[in-house]
Amino acid sequence: MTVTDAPLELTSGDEPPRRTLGVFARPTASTGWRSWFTSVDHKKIGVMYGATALFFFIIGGVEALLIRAQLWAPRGTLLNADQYNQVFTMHGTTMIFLVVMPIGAAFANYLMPLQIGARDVAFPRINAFSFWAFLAGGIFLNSSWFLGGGADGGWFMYAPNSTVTFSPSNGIDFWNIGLLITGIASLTGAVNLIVTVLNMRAPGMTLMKMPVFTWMTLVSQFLLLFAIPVLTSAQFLLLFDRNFDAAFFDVAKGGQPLLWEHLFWIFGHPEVYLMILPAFGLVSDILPVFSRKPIFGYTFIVFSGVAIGFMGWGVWAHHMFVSGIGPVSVLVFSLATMFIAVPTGVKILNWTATMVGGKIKLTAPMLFCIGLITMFTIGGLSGVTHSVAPADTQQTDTYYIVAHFHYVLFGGAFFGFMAGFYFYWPKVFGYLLNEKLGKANFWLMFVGFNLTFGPMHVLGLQGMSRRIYTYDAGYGFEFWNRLATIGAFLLASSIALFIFNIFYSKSKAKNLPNPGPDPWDARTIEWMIPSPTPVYNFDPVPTVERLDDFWYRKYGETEDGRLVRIASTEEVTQSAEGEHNVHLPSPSYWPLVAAIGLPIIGWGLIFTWWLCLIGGLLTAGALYAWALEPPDDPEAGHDHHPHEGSAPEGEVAVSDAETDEAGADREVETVG
Amino acid sequence: MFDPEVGKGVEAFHPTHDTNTGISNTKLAMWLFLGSECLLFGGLITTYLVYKYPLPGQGPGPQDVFDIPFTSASSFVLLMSSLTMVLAVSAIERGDHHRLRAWLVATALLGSAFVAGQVYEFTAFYNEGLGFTTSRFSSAFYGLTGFHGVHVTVGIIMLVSMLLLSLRGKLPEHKAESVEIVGLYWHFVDLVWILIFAVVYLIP
Amino acid sequence: MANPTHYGEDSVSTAVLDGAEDAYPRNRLYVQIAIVLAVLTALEVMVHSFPGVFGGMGSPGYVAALLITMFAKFWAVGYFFMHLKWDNKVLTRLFYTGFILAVFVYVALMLMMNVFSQG
Repeated sequence: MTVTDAPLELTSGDEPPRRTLGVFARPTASTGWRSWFTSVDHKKIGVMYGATALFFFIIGGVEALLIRAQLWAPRGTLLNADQYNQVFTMHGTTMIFLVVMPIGAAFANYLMPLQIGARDVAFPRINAFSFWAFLAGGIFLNSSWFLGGGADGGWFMYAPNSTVTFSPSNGIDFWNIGLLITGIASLTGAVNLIVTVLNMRAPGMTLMKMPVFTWMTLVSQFLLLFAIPVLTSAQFLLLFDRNFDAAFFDVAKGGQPLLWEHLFWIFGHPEVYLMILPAFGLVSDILPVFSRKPIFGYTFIVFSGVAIGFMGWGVWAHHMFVSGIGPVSVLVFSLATMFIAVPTGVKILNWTATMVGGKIKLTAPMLFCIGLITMFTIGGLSGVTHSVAPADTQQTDTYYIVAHFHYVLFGGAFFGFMAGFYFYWPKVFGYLLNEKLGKANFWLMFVGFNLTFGPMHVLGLQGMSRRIYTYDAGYGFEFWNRLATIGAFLLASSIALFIFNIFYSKSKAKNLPNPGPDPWDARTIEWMIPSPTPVYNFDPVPTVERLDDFWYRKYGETEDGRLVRIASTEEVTQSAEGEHNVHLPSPSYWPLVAAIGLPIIGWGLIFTWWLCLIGGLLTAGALYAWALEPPDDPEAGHDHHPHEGSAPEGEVAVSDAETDEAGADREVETVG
Repeated sequence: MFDPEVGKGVEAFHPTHDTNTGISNTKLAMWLFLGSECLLFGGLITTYLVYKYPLPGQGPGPQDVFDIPFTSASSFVLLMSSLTMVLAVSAIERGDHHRLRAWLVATALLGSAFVAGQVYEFTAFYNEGLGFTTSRFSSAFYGLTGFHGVHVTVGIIMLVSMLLLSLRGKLPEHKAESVEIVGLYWHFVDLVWILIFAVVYLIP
Repeated sequence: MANPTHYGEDSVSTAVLDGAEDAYPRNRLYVQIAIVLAVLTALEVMVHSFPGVFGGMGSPGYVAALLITMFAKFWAVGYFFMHLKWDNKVLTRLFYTGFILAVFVYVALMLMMNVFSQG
């Protein structure tokens, strides 16, 4: 082998140094506001996902308050029927696609690489693209408010109500194209996160040593991977119907509205599980910490999650028991739905058993966890009543259904996310949220939540239909609606308290010491590293020997099974001090530019064709520039590259591999 | 699901060997994407099967317009493009850049011939009175095959990009995998056409 | 692996590679598979041209014959051309998970929408 004067190949096989198409200099900033736009750091992207989702949560929450204010008294006049249709449609769409799913993505992005001991995700730039595409889709969806009104067909947008005949405004086009864009974001995110879990675990971290949250992320990303394309195919049909006069749902030409229902719910039911599983994972990781016991039946928890993932594909038609799908189908799906309660019940049992006999510390995150277990159990039980088809026939499209899915999605998923916020706040931002305010936050939310959605059970069973913009006095609806509206405002104030707590704790934190790597005496390896997480995550990457590896670095057992401290936290955690020469993926403009093109195409489809051309060129050009840009900027951060200088390709020097072992050079780029 | 220990302890730096599964990230990602595409095309094929027959009096049906000999020929062309594609991959793995380019050109040409055939077919059908909005059958048929055609076109663009990279000397052997990844996409598009040819054209 | 500074057309003597098909036995296999695929396609067209042999156009025998040849082609392209034969089996499992899931949910959908009983 010869040593040449030519620029040396990077070991990842990338191009020699070169300016990116000569258009922009490669971004280099790692701090300041600019760095957020070009960041490919999974932690920054995770934080942006969370912040954006909370922003959309406020929008969706305002929509919810409008609904509740309208229903405060019989014959409400705050909104007219058309406005009410838009508000409840956008409330549901926003909360599902722009809040619960992205908060799951926020935790997955931030935590999952830390829990498996990775430096970043498998494709950092695709990760950035996923976020920007999600944000672009969300903005596009909400731009409908200023461009002729929101979608008005309900979040599941049944045909033929969704066709131009019955909804002539552009609202549904915004809904359709907006969700196609967020679908692209979800799909690329799912591929990225699955590859990360499968390929980038730290040494020794086998699948069955992964924290439960990482497992649930894996399952829910698989659900996304396979569910999103089903929605996309249905949305293509709707797009062609609305924008190109196709005959898919045109009943006069033999179009079958039932086809939309099937396709939507084949997507929709796995969707339900992929929203709840990340919260289940968070709870499964937080409960053991505050019970000071390992999770009860780790294997059962994991496999019940996987079972939910599989069985979730075989129950979709229980959303359609009144659609006339025939007695055999009703019977099959009714039974399948009853069976899917089993793995969910397994989880409830496991969590309860984890707490039994533990030294329980009722911190704010723990309270939210217990809130999830109890509220989800109620929601799960009302769900089982839906599986009984004759009963469901009575419950369909009543407030009983609304009560059910808010108990599982708010009482389940969102309580879990709140637990996650309180628990992981110090790891992400380097300061603890105030405990007293946190507990008040919990109780306010708990009471507000039950006051809002508890009465809806009664309303539903009394026969109040959902999606009706007003009701008459004298049916016994007034009292319960009033209660629910009061509850909704309590719930809103609990969110305000949470936001206040963020700023209050931050201002107080200036005078407090750093909470340290491990403020909760936790169990999983993300607590080994300093708070807030350093940009390189782990240095060095730990070798994992068992489940809850970090805990067993701190604690051992005596012969009679009692827990004893074997090492202090300082001894087993990593320090931010000293030099850390870790080679990280370089920031890039192109994911942002590629994502900006997407909503422009969307506006073009709705308004004028030439916008499509601009957006298409922007996205296509950005993708090309992206493909030609090496994943790592050769001009940045190579000072300490272990192979600098002499070793040509093929003669790999592994001597200095420690700093680089988890593969900053791992990313191999796609071409398309 | 699989042995999590695969690839453990391998210290080599080559990107295909330092992952837990031993599969490179890109290849794993492409296969996941293709698994996902199965459900996308599945939805469109299902739509076609549900809407296979137009309502009476709403334009021609499948038996009236399909030209099986012609479609058989274009199916054959696409099938053979899979052979040229795999030969391109095999050429770059051996470091044979001339053959790589030749097979890439061949694949792109065969793909273009297929797309041209589709354009001809659509034109012929249109002239027989089958517009996109004519009936549920026409919408479903054009929707499905058009969507597939777009996939083929994207594949051709990727092949041409590969060819240009190779001509500029930017596709060395150690990047052979990027050709293989494009190949995976190309073969998948062929797989989908295998299903469409039998299910849409041949089975009444 | 070749010296990275020496890739490109100049460094490869094509004369040496003229016999490369022999040195690279997979290529022969690829051609054989392509021939098999061509024959299967011809068979499909034959079945369509002479449906009487299998019980008439649209009969169960006819449909079964076409589905079998279709899946044989599908499998062969995946197994040989897409390298599933030689690659890590994880890839096979992931891809066929998606494929089988698609077949499962969409066949169930079509059963519920009476697609197979339309005649």
